Amino acid sequence: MSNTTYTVIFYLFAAITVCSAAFVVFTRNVIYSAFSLLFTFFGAAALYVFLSADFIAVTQVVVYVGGILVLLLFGVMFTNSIMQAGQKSEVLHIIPGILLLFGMIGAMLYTFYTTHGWMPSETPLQGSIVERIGFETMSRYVLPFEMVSILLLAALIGAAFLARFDKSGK
Amino acid sequence: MEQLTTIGLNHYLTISAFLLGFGLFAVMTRKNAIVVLMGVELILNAANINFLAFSKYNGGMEGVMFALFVIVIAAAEAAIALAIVINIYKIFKSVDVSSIDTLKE
Amino acid sequence: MHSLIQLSIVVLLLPLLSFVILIFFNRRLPRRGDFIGVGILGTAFGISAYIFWSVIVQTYDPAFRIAWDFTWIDLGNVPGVGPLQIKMGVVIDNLTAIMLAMVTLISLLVHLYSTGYMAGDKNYGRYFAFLGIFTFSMLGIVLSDNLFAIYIFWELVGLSSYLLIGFFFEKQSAADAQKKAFLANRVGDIGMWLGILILYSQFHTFSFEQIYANLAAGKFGLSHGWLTAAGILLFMGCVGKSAQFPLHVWLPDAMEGPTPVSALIHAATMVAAGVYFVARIFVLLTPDALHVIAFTGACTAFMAATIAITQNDIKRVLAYSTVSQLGYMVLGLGVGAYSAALFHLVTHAFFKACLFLGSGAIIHAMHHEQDMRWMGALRKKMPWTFATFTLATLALAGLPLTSGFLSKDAILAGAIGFANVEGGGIYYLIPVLGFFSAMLTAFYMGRQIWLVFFGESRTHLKPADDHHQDHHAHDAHDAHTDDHHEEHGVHEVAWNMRAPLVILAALSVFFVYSPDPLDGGKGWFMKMIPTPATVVGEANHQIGDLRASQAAPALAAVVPALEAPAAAAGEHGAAEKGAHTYADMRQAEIVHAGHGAHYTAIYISSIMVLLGITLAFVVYVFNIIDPAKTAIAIRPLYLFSLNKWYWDEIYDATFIRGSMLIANILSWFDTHIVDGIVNGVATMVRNFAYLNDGFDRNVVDGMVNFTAFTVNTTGAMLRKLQTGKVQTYVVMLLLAVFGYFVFYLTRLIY
Repeated sequence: MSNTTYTVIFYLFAAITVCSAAFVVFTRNVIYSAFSLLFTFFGAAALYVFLSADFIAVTQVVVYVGGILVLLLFGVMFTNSIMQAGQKSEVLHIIPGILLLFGMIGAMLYTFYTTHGWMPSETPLQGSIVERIGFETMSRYVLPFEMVSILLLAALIGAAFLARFDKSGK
Repeated sequence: MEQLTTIGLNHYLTISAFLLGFGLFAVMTRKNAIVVLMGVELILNAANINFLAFSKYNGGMEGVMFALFVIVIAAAEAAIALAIVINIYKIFKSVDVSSIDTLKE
Repeated sequence: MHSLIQLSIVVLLLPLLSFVILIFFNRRLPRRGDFIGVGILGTAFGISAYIFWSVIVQTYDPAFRIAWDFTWIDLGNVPGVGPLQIKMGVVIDNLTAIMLAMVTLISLLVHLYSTGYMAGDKNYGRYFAFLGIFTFSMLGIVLSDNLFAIYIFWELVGLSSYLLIGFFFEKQSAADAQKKAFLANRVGDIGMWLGILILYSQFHTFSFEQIYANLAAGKFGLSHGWLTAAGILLFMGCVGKSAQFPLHVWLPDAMEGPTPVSALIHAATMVAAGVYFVARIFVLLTPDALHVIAFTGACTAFMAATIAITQNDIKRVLAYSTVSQLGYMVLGLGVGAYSAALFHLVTHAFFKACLFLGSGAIIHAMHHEQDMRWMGALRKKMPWTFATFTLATLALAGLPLTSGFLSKDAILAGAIGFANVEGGGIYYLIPVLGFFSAMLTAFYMGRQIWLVFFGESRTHLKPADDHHQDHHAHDAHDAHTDDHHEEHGVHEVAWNMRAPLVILAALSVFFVYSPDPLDGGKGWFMKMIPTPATVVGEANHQIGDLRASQAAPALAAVVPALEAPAAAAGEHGAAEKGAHTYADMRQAEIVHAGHGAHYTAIYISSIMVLLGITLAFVVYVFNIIDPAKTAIAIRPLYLFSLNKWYWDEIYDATFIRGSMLIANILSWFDTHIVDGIVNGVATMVRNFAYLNDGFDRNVVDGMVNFTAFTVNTTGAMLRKLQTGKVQTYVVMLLLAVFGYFVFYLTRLIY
């Protein structure tokens, strides 16, 4: 893969990610937003691959696209009757929102580009890091790993508890 | 041109900045709670990109591991948030965040 | 410091100690602490007797004098006044020694007597405390060596007199009497203070010795009239304290006090203080001032005597007789019979104290009956009292063989001599009034003796309601007066009341003072108290003028004979032999003339006294003249006397009404003008307050309301931010973050 091809593909995915994210935000239709978000996640996963984090990219696809996005779609369908014409999502604070959108982005970009202190390592990550993630997970990050699994369990139980229809109350 | 063709840290940071901006915009302006959640996901993705980018150009595994945990926590967050949204819907018969202003009192 | 000075200070302070102990602790002490009062006074008398012995008997020097002083208050150089130092000092000369012994002795006897007379009184302890402070003050007057100190003690004496007159203050009459006494004294004291100030303004010292030295050196800067004025003003103090003619009205009313107090204060010591004071300032009195003094004394003596003959209250008779005798003393000083006046002071103190204590014994025995009309026939029941009372009466009347005879005749002789020297005319009024008063004295004392001790008992004659009233008026400490009318209720008094009577009566006999029963001048007293040389220098009345007067031939004969005694007597006599002034000459001449008139005085006064006694016998014993009919026959005169020459009424009509008028005018002024001003100010203040109120309402409240309004508005505006919408909050949060960004980046750029 030549350098040019690499660059082109990078820009392609970058464009997909950014444009779909913009579409997520700016479209009035919730369904469109949800589907557009799918592209954003895919694009982000592709960028992860560019960043030598193939395992994270796969996890991204599995968790986000396979889990979260489906969950969101379920949420949309639970709360909005799809048959209704009122699928559109209203907006508020549009003026300060846009102001802050450009403000924040501009400010961050300005910061990034005027910062000359980035000192990239001589040995950036190369190739697959799945094996290293395995090591790290089972050695240095074993405690966060266990804690995050317990958190996930608790979150799932809590979500089920919160979201169930309370029949006894009726 | 050199800057544009040679993909570096700044490119990823730029993308993450855009994602973050859009995410914040969604959180700020959209009335639909689901879309607000989508904005939150965008913000998390922006953070992830940053983590991984820094991790790659730093050569360490910390960013990678953090991104992994972020994904897990994002999943948990999405589940809980959805549950909350559904509860809100049950109580207010709406997912319009702007109509929920009991915090005022 | 001389040891006698030290002892005299101890004597001065002992009664004060008694006062302090008794006023604070009398209720905690057995017998209310009366033994402390008596014991302390006994000690004081013992020391005084030693001083008397040392000075009079051992030293026996007419010019004896020791003094000591210290600076009490040094005010430095007071602007407008000059250096102002107030000193305290003690002077002991023959007069002081005699007075010291006299005051402490009578005070001791009165203390002793009071243990019987006042027994059972509810304020028994306080009574002795008051006696203590009185004795202290009196001794202070006697010992002081300067005018300022004398003035202080003078006022203290006035205070203790006030306290003791009003001792039965539950009685309205006693409270009134104490006020009257205090106010009358105040009038005199103001004059006295002005006199002191005149002298001070010239010499910048209060000390007698320095004032006299300066006067003798002719340093008195003002005119001669001012010196006369100073003398008369100082004499005003005596007029108040010694109850002389215009201000005598308080003394009879002061009889509302307990009888022993009357004996101590209003007969023997305090009223004598006035005379003592005039004696102290005698040397600076000008002839004019002396004339005023002599006439005042003569008027007082005569007027009081005429009043005394019609009074029925046993104590009032004695009170007026006291006024009369004080008049004699003042008269004596006024005519220049210095020694005689002081001699009379001492003898009078003893026999008058004896009379008062005797009357106290009678009153005590009669269960607080004071009206002589309801007495009688006490001679057998109270033999001791009768004997001592009679002896003292004879002394007061001035019969030969008594002390009173010696002193009174010396005064009258001096008066005759004075009249002779002054050249007759109006001046003969003085001896005439004196002799006439002597006769009246004999008369009223005879009347008193007869009414009280002889005849039939008349207790049953007393009207019932009168008795009832009197009973309530006088039984301040008596719970057993129901046997009032019964004969067996009257009894001789106990030893502690009898002993003072006997001692005082014994001191009323001639041989205590003089070996010659007819001439006091041969006794130790007159020798020890010589007439001091006057210090009044008179440029206008040089001896030459006097020689030109009608008395010149007599003077020419007298002057050489007088050189010797004058030199012996005064400090200045020897030095100024060649430069005698008119005042010196006059004084010496009066003394000599007094000696010359001695036998004349004896004859006249004896005749007058016998006349008076005979009259009394004629009226009351032999009933040849019925007193009641006589009273009707000369009713205006009788009423004039009975009502005390209407002095109280005159004062009521003039001074009291006058001051009431002034008070009313002032009251009107106060009500209309002062109150008007006050109200005007109040209105002004109120209007200002209204202004203030308006300011408060509009400006201050406005500011407060404005603040509240601002806060309210701001709150209303800010409340809109508090929408309850999460997204609004997020906008705010992000705005803040963005603001931080901008701030941070700005910092980064610059």
